[in-house]
Amino acid sequence: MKLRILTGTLASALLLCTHTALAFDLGSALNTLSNVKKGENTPPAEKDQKAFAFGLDALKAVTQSTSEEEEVAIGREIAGRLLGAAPLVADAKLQKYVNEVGQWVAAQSERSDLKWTFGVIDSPAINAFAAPGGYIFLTRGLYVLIKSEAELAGVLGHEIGHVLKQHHLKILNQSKLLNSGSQLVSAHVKNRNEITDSLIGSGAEILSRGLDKDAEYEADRIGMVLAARAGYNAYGLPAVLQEIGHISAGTDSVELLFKTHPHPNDRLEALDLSMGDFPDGGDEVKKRFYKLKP
Amino acid sequence: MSLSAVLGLSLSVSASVANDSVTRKAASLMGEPYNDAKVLMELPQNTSVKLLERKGGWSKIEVKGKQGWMRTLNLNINAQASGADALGSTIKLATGRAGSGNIVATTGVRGLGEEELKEAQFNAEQIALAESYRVDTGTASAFAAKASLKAQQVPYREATTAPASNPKRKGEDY
Repeated sequence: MKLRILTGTLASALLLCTHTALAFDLGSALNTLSNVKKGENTPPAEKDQKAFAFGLDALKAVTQSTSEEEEVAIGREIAGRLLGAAPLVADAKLQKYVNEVGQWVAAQSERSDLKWTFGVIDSPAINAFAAPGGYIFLTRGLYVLIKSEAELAGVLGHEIGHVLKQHHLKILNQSKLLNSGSQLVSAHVKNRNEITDSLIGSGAEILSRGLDKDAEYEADRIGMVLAARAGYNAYGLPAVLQEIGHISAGTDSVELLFKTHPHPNDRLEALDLSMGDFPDGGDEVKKRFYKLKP
Repeated sequence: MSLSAVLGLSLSVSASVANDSVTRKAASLMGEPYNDAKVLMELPQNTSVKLLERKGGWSKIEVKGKQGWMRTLNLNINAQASGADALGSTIKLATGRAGSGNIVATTGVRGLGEEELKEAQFNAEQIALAESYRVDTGTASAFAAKASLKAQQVPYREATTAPASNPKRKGEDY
C-alpha cells in the first residue's frame, strides 16, 4: 500500500529519502549520492527507473530492515543524550542491582542476546525510558515509588517490551520519511551530529513523544508476562501503576509521563481485560530490594 | 544530604486520605487474598474504598468500616480523593519506607520534560559508565537463584476487549 502511495510523482522525493534512509552509514550515503549524480546524466526514462530502484531501497530500509547494529547505534545515541539531560544516580550498587534484575527479566525474552543496559537516572520526575537496542532507564523519582523487586521487574519488563516490539524505532523510521527528507534536500550534511539529528531528532526528543496507546498497553502485558517468566509475582507493574495514578495529574513530576501515556486507570482497565485471570503466583522479593538511601 | 534536598521534594505527612480508590466493576470483598476465600460483602461498581496495602495481585481495602481483600485490577484510582488539587499529590506508601502514612510531594528542581530532552547533549562518559554496569546472563541467573527465582513458561497475551474469565488461584504455578 505504501508502495502505491510512493510511486509516480513522488519518485523524486524518494530519491531524497534514499539518502536519509542510509544516513546512518555515511559511507553508503556518499556512495548513493554519487550514484544519483551519475543518474542525472542518463536519459529521462532510465533516470526514472533508477530513481524508482533507489526508492524501493529506501522504502525497504525505512519500513523493515534497520539492522540490529544500526538499532543499537541509534539507541546508544539516544541513551547518551538522555544521560546528558539527567546523569546516572551516583550509586554503583544501585546500578548493578538494576542491571541484575533487568538482565534476568530480559533473558526471558526473545531478544536475550541483546546487550541490555539498565540504569537509574538522577531526576525527581517520575518516568522510565526505553531507547532502541536495549537501553533502559528509570528516574530516581520512579524508583523511590517502587517497593519490591517484583515491582521493579514489572516496570523494567514494560520498557523491555518497547524494545522487543521496536516501538520507538518504528516512530523513527516513519519520521525518517516524513521529516529528514526535507532537511537533507538542501543536503549540506557536514558532520555526524547533523546526520544523527536528522535521523533521531534534536536531543532525546524522541523519548518525549508519546507512543500509540495500544503500544503502551502491549508493553504493559509484556511487562507482566516477562516478570512472571522470571519467577516474580506479575502484579508488580499494576501496583506501581496504582501508585503513579494516585499522584495528581497537575504535579510537575508526572507531567511528561501523563502526557505520553494513557492514564493509569485506563492502563489498569486494559490489563484487567487481558490479564484479569493471570496467575498470582511467583515471588515479590521484598527482602533484598535495594532501597535508595535518603 | 536529606532526601528532600536530593530530590527537590518537600515532604510532609498528611493527616489521612479519603477513599482513594473506587471499584471499577461490581466485585466481592474477600476475607483473605485468595479467590476461594470467604466473601465478606458484595460491592457494586463505583464504590469508594480506602486502599490499605497490597499483596501480590490483591489489595487490602477498607469500606464502610470493614476491611477485606480485592483483586487490585478491580480497582480504579479515585482521582478526586487522591489529591487532584493543584497543590500537590498524595502518594500512599503502604510499606511506610519513607515514614508511615502518606506524603505530599511537591516537585521543585530540575525536571525531565520535553524541553530538557530536546536540548539534551550526548554524554559519552555517562553512557560508557552505564554500559560498564551491564551484567551477563550467567550473572543474572546466579542473582536470580539467590532469591530462589526460577524461570517459568508463560505465553504472551494478545489484547482483549472482553473481560477475562476463569480466574486462577493464589499460589498456583504459572
